[in-house]
Amino acid sequence: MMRKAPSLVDLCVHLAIDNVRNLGDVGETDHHLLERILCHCTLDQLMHIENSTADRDLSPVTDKLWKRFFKDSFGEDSFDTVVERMEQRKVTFKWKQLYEAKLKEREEATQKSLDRIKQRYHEEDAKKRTRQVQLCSKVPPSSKKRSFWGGETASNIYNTKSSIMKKSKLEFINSREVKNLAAMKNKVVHKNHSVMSKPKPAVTSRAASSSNNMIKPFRRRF
Amino acid sequence: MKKEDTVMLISAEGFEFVIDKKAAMVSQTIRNMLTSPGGFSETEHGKVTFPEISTTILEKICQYFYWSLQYASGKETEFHIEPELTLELMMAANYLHT
Repeated sequence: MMRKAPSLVDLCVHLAIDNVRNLGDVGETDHHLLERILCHCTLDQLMHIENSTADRDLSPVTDKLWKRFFKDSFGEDSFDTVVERMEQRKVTFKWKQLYEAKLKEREEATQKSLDRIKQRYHEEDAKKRTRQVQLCSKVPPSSKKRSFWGGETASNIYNTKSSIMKKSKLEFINSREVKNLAAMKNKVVHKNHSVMSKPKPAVTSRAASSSNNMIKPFRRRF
Repeated sequence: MKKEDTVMLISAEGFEFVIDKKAAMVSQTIRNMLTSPGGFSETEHGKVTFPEISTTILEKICQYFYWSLQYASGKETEFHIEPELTLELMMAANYLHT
């Protein structure tokens, strides 16, 4: 069987099509060869090839490809509008430029929308925060008057309008149990205070001694 | 190989590839050079210089010539091409009409 071998050109073209994602600078490759290859590119691949082939204007080959990409990306209506406008103003632009311009327009519009949404979220958030309970750094002073049972302070009793309630609250406070518990609580508070007051002199005098190199405060003198 | 049956192909760097005339004629361009009655200077000396084709590419082209003859005579194998040679090889092959 005598079969003619495939031409080297064809072999190379097929190889290039298979590897189109790896193509960059296409140098001085012939128009008709480029046409056979570049029609297999995706938009991103074509963009990459055109950008890599900086020394050469590929638009004689690629303009019709960009026209198709424009239509596919932005729809028939956008396409028709652009064509109309160009006819009206009697200008023609390359489809690659038109594509890039439209893309930029879309991206800016999207960014604006995103910024607006972000802003709304911030505003809502701020509103919520004003109503929230906020942590503050000040600690309320400890009060001996703090009641164990929650609320039976003097003001609570005297503010009560109902006399029956007043009577029952007074009875309750004067009951043995509450008195015992209150006494215990007072003792505990005192103890805490006394413990806390002791380290103070030690701290200050130690600080003083470290700077003056004086005798340590707790050492006994003989 | 008798001298009359061979041609010498010379690359841009000056490398000389001596191949069968039959193989070289796979390229339409070379065939025209060698058979044209007009008489290219190449036909007299059997040497063709390709100042625009690098050694690596010219070597691959010679390999292609032999592969092509083999294929036509029935032995159908795959001709492997290194991907990085693709574009350059394609342009050279285009020029040589092969």
